[in-house]
Amino acid sequence: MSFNSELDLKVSRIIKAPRDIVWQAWANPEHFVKWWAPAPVVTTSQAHELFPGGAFNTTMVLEDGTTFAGKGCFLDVEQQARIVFTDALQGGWRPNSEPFFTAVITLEDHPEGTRYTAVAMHVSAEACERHAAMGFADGWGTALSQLAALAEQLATA
Amino acid sequence: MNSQSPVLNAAFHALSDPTRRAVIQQLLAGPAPVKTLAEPFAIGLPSFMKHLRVLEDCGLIMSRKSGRVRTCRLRPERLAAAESWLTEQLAVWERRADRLTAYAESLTQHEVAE
Repeated sequence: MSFNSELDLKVSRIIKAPRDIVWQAWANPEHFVKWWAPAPVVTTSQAHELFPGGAFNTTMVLEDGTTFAGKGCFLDVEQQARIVFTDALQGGWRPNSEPFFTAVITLEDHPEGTRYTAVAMHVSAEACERHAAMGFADGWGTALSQLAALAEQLATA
Repeated sequence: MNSQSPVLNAAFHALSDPTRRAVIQQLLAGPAPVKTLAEPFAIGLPSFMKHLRVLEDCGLIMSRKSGRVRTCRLRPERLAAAESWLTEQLAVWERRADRLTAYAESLTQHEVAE
Protein backbone atom coordinates (compact mmCIF):
# COMPACT_ATOMS: atom_id res chain seq x y z
CA MET A 1 0.00 0.00 0.00
CA SER A 2 1.53 3.33 -1.07
CA PHE A 3 1.07 6.52 0.92
CA ASN A 4 0.62 9.85 -0.81
CA SER A 5 0.96 12.67 1.71
CA GLU A 6 -0.99 15.02 -0.58
CA LEU A 7 -4.04 12.78 -0.65
CA ASP A 8 -3.82 10.31 2.20
CA LEU A 9 -4.07 10.42 5.95
CA LYS A 10 -3.15 8.05 8.72
CA VAL A 11 -4.28 7.94 12.34
CA SER A 12 -3.12 5.51 14.98
CA ARG A 13 -4.07 4.76 18.58
CA ILE A 14 -3.03 2.34 21.27
CA ILE A 15 -6.32 1.06 22.65
CA LYS A 16 -6.18 -0.50 26.11
CA ALA A 17 -8.44 -3.37 25.14
CA PRO A 18 -7.78 -6.79 23.63
CA ARG A 19 -7.91 -7.14 19.86
CA ASP A 20 -11.13 -9.19 19.85
CA ILE A 21 -12.93 -6.42 21.76
CA VAL A 22 -11.76 -3.70 19.37
CA TRP A 23 -12.81 -5.98 16.52
CA GLN A 24 -16.28 -6.33 18.05
CA ALA A 25 -16.56 -2.55 18.33
CA TRP A 26 -15.96 -2.34 14.56
CA ALA A 27 -17.58 -5.54 13.31
CA ASN A 28 -20.77 -5.66 15.34
CA PRO A 29 -23.15 -2.95 14.04
CA GLU A 30 -24.76 -2.63 17.47
CA HIS A 31 -21.41 -1.47 18.81
CA PHE A 32 -20.29 0.28 15.64
CA VAL A 33 -23.15 2.80 15.60
CA LYS A 34 -22.27 3.92 19.12
CA TRP A 35 -18.97 5.55 18.15
CA TRP A 36 -18.90 6.13 14.37
CA ALA A 37 -20.45 9.62 14.45
CA PRO A 38 -20.16 12.16 17.22
CA ALA A 39 -23.19 12.86 19.42
CA PRO A 40 -25.75 14.25 18.91
CA VAL A 41 -25.54 12.84 15.38
CA VAL A 42 -27.01 9.33 15.47
CA THR A 43 -25.65 6.60 13.20
CA THR A 44 -27.97 3.85 12.02
CA SER A 45 -26.74 0.77 10.22
CA GLN A 46 -28.63 -0.67 7.26
CA ALA A 47 -25.99 -3.17 6.17
CA HIS A 48 -22.71 -4.18 7.77
CA GLU A 49 -21.67 -7.18 5.67
CA LEU A 50 -18.10 -7.90 6.64
CA PHE A 51 -16.90 -9.82 3.61
CA PRO A 52 -15.38 -8.74 0.27
CA GLY A 53 -18.18 -7.17 -1.78
CA GLY A 54 -20.40 -6.83 1.29
CA ALA A 55 -22.52 -3.72 1.70
CA PHE A 56 -21.51 -1.11 4.26
CA ASN A 57 -24.55 1.16 4.51
CA THR A 58 -24.97 3.70 7.25
CA THR A 59 -27.15 6.73 7.77
CA MET A 60 -26.29 9.72 9.89
CA VAL A 61 -29.29 11.37 11.49
CA LEU A 62 -28.93 14.94 12.68
CA GLU A 63 -30.87 16.31 15.64
CA ASP A 64 -33.51 17.91 13.45
CA GLY A 65 -34.12 14.65 11.60
CA THR A 66 -32.00 15.48 8.54
CA THR A 67 -30.40 12.30 7.25
CA PHE A 68 -27.25 11.58 5.25
CA ALA A 69 -27.18 8.08 3.81
CA GLY A 70 -23.92 6.52 2.70
CA LYS A 71 -23.52 3.32 0.70
CA GLY A 72 -20.08 1.75 0.77
CA CYS A 73 -18.51 -1.62 0.13
CA PHE A 74 -16.14 -3.82 2.11
CA LEU A 75 -13.22 -4.85 -0.10
CA ASP A 76 -11.16 -7.03 2.20
CA VAL A 77 -11.83 -8.44 5.64
CA GLU A 78 -9.37 -10.40 7.73
CA GLN A 79 -10.93 -11.45 11.04
CA GLN A 80 -9.64 -9.36 13.96
CA ALA A 81 -6.85 -7.91 11.80
CA ARG A 82 -7.96 -5.89 8.81
CA ILE A 83 -10.94 -4.15 7.21
CA VAL A 84 -10.71 -2.41 3.85
CA PHE A 85 -13.71 -0.45 2.59
CA THR A 86 -14.55 2.25 0.06
CA ASP A 87 -17.30 4.64 -0.90
CA ALA A 88 -16.32 4.21 -4.57
CA LEU A 89 -18.44 1.05 -4.66
CA GLN A 90 -21.56 -0.17 -2.91
CA GLY A 91 -22.55 -3.69 -1.93
CA GLY A 92 -21.96 -6.26 -4.68
CA TRP A 93 -19.22 -4.05 -6.22
CA ARG A 94 -21.71 -1.74 -7.95
CA PRO A 95 -19.92 1.58 -8.68
CA ASN A 96 -20.98 4.77 -6.89
CA SER A 97 -21.17 8.07 -8.77
CA GLU A 98 -19.02 10.11 -6.38
CA PRO A 99 -15.97 8.07 -5.38
CA PHE A 100 -14.00 9.75 -2.62
CA PHE A 101 -11.91 7.37 -0.54
CA THR A 102 -10.71 3.89 0.36
CA ALA A 103 -9.91 3.18 4.02
CA VAL A 104 -7.71 0.47 5.48
CA ILE A 105 -8.25 -0.37 9.15
CA THR A 106 -5.58 -2.47 10.85
CA LEU A 107 -5.61 -4.08 14.30
CA GLU A 108 -2.38 -5.42 15.81
CA ASP A 109 -1.50 -6.82 19.21
CA HIS A 110 0.34 -4.38 21.43
CA PRO A 111 1.76 -4.87 24.97
CA GLU A 112 -0.87 -2.43 26.27
CA GLY A 113 -3.73 -3.86 24.22
CA THR A 114 -4.28 -3.15 20.54
CA ARG A 115 -2.66 -0.88 18.01
CA TYR A 116 -5.42 0.60 15.85
CA THR A 117 -4.44 2.19 12.55
CA ALA A 118 -6.72 3.80 9.99
CA VAL A 119 -5.41 4.94 6.61
CA ALA A 120 -7.71 6.83 4.25
CA MET A 121 -6.65 7.27 0.62
CA HIS A 122 -8.51 9.94 -1.34
CA VAL A 123 -9.15 10.12 -5.06
CA SER A 124 -8.04 13.71 -5.82
CA ALA A 125 -7.97 17.19 -4.32
CA GLU A 126 -10.75 18.28 -6.71
CA ALA A 127 -13.03 15.46 -5.63
CA CYS A 128 -12.20 16.22 -2.02
CA GLU A 129 -13.24 19.81 -2.38
CA ARG A 130 -16.44 18.66 -4.02
CA HIS A 131 -16.87 16.28 -1.12
CA ALA A 132 -16.54 19.22 1.26
CA ALA A 133 -19.85 20.39 -0.17
CA MET A 134 -21.45 16.98 -0.69
CA GLY A 135 -20.44 15.31 2.53
CA PHE A 136 -21.31 17.98 5.01
CA ALA A 137 -22.37 15.46 7.62
CA ASP A 138 -18.81 14.67 8.66
CA GLY A 139 -17.87 18.31 8.78
CA TRP A 140 -20.85 18.95 10.99
CA GLY A 141 -19.87 15.98 13.05
CA THR A 142 -16.43 17.47 13.54
CA ALA A 143 -17.89 20.80 14.47
CA LEU A 144 -20.33 19.17 16.85
CA SER A 145 -17.68 17.11 18.59
CA GLN A 146 -15.52 20.19 18.98
CA LEU A 147 -18.48 22.12 20.28
CA ALA A 148 -19.16 19.33 22.77
CA ALA A 149 -15.52 19.36 23.84
CA LEU A 150 -15.64 23.10 24.24
CA ALA A 151 -18.83 22.87 26.29
CA GLU A 152 -17.14 20.32 28.55
CA GLN A 153 -14.16 22.64 29.02
CA LEU A 154 -16.47 25.50 29.85
CA ALA A 155 -18.46 23.37 32.27
CA THR A 156 -15.33 22.33 34.15
CA ALA A 157 -13.64 25.76 34.02
CA MET B 1 -10.87 28.71 20.31
CA ASN B 2 -7.97 27.61 18.14
CA SER B 3 -6.87 28.28 14.56
CA GLN B 4 -9.78 26.22 13.25
CA SER B 5 -12.28 28.79 14.45
CA PRO B 6 -13.19 30.27 11.03
CA VAL B 7 -14.38 26.88 9.83
CA LEU B 8 -15.96 26.06 13.15
CA ASN B 9 -17.70 29.38 13.45
CA ALA B 10 -19.13 28.91 9.99
CA ALA B 11 -20.32 25.42 10.87
CA PHE B 12 -21.76 26.56 14.19
CA HIS B 13 -23.66 29.35 12.49
CA ALA B 14 -25.09 26.87 10.02
CA LEU B 15 -25.86 24.35 12.71
CA SER B 16 -27.39 26.62 15.26
CA ASP B 17 -30.56 27.14 13.26
CA PRO B 18 -32.76 24.60 11.45
CA THR B 19 -33.70 27.07 8.70
CA ARG B 20 -30.06 27.73 7.84
CA ARG B 21 -29.30 24.03 8.01
CA ALA B 22 -32.15 23.32 5.62
CA VAL B 23 -30.89 25.99 3.20
CA ILE B 24 -27.47 24.35 3.09
CA GLN B 25 -29.15 20.99 2.61
CA GLN B 26 -31.03 22.42 -0.39
CA LEU B 27 -27.88 23.99 -1.84
CA LEU B 28 -26.04 20.67 -1.69
CA ALA B 29 -28.16 19.77 -4.72
CA GLY B 30 -26.85 22.83 -6.59
CA PRO B 31 -27.34 26.60 -6.84
CA ALA B 32 -30.89 27.85 -6.36
CA PRO B 33 -32.80 31.15 -6.52
CA VAL B 34 -33.71 32.79 -3.20
CA LYS B 35 -37.39 32.41 -4.01
CA THR B 36 -37.05 28.64 -4.40
CA LEU B 37 -34.97 28.37 -1.24
CA ALA B 38 -37.56 30.33 0.76
CA GLU B 39 -40.54 28.30 -0.42
CA PRO B 40 -40.47 25.50 2.21
CA PHE B 41 -40.46 27.97 5.11
CA ALA B 42 -43.44 29.59 6.75
CA ILE B 43 -41.54 32.79 7.49
CA GLY B 44 -41.56 36.15 5.77
CA LEU B 45 -38.99 36.93 3.11
CA PRO B 46 -37.24 39.59 5.25
CA SER B 47 -36.66 37.03 8.05
CA PHE B 48 -35.50 34.49 5.52
CA MET B 49 -33.08 36.99 3.99
CA LYS B 50 -31.54 37.50 7.44
CA HIS B 51 -30.73 33.79 7.57
CA LEU B 52 -29.16 33.99 4.12
CA ARG B 53 -27.10 36.97 5.23
CA VAL B 54 -25.75 35.00 8.20
CA LEU B 55 -24.72 32.17 5.89
CA GLU B 56 -23.19 34.63 3.43
CA ASP B 57 -21.33 36.57 6.14
CA CYS B 58 -19.74 33.46 7.53
CA GLY B 59 -18.68 32.42 4.04
CA LEU B 60 -20.70 29.26 3.64
CA ILE B 61 -22.74 30.53 0.70
CA MET B 62 -22.56 33.30 -1.87
CA SER B 63 -25.26 34.92 -3.94
CA ARG B 64 -25.38 36.75 -7.24
CA LYS B 65 -28.15 38.89 -8.68
CA SER B 66 -29.01 38.56 -12.33
CA GLY B 67 -31.91 40.73 -13.37
CA ARG B 68 -34.60 40.17 -10.73
CA VAL B 69 -33.34 36.79 -9.63
CA ARG B 70 -30.84 36.34 -6.81
CA THR B 71 -29.19 32.93 -6.93
CA CYS B 72 -27.34 31.33 -4.02
CA ARG B 73 -24.67 28.67 -4.06
CA LEU B 74 -22.44 26.94 -1.53
CA ARG B 75 -18.80 27.99 -1.15
CA PRO B 76 -16.98 24.77 -0.35
CA GLU B 77 -13.77 26.42 -1.56
CA ARG B 78 -14.09 28.87 1.30
CA LEU B 79 -14.06 26.00 3.76
CA ALA B 80 -11.18 24.41 1.87
CA ALA B 81 -9.27 27.69 1.99
CA ALA B 82 -9.86 28.20 5.70
CA GLU B 83 -8.65 24.73 6.43
CA SER B 84 -7.48 22.23 3.85
CA TRP B 85 -9.80 19.37 3.08
CA LEU B 86 -7.16 16.89 4.17
CA THR B 87 -6.82 18.52 7.59
CA GLU B 88 -10.57 18.44 7.89
CA GLN B 89 -10.71 14.73 6.98
CA LEU B 90 -7.84 14.03 9.33
CA ALA B 91 -9.80 15.68 12.14
CA VAL B 92 -12.79 13.45 11.33
CA TRP B 93 -10.64 10.31 11.52
CA GLU B 94 -8.74 11.45 14.62
CA ARG B 95 -11.96 12.03 16.55
CA ARG B 96 -13.43 8.81 15.25
CA ALA B 97 -10.34 6.95 16.55
CA ASP B 98 -10.75 8.71 19.90
CA ARG B 99 -14.38 7.62 20.13
CA LEU B 100 -13.53 4.03 19.16
CA THR B 101 -10.77 3.99 21.77
CA ALA B 102 -13.09 5.23 24.50
CA TYR B 103 -15.83 2.84 23.42
CA ALA B 104 -13.61 -0.27 23.14
CA GLU B 105 -12.02 0.48 26.49
CA SER B 106 -15.45 0.78 28.10
CA LEU B 107 -16.46 -2.53 26.48
CA THR B 108 -13.45 -4.17 28.12
CA GLN B 109 -14.67 -3.02 31.48
CA HIS B 110 -18.24 -4.18 30.95
CA GLU B 111 -17.44 -7.32 28.92
CA VAL B 112 -18.77 -7.77 25.42
CA ALA B 113 -22.30 -9.08 25.39
CA GLU B 114 -22.10 -11.76 22.74
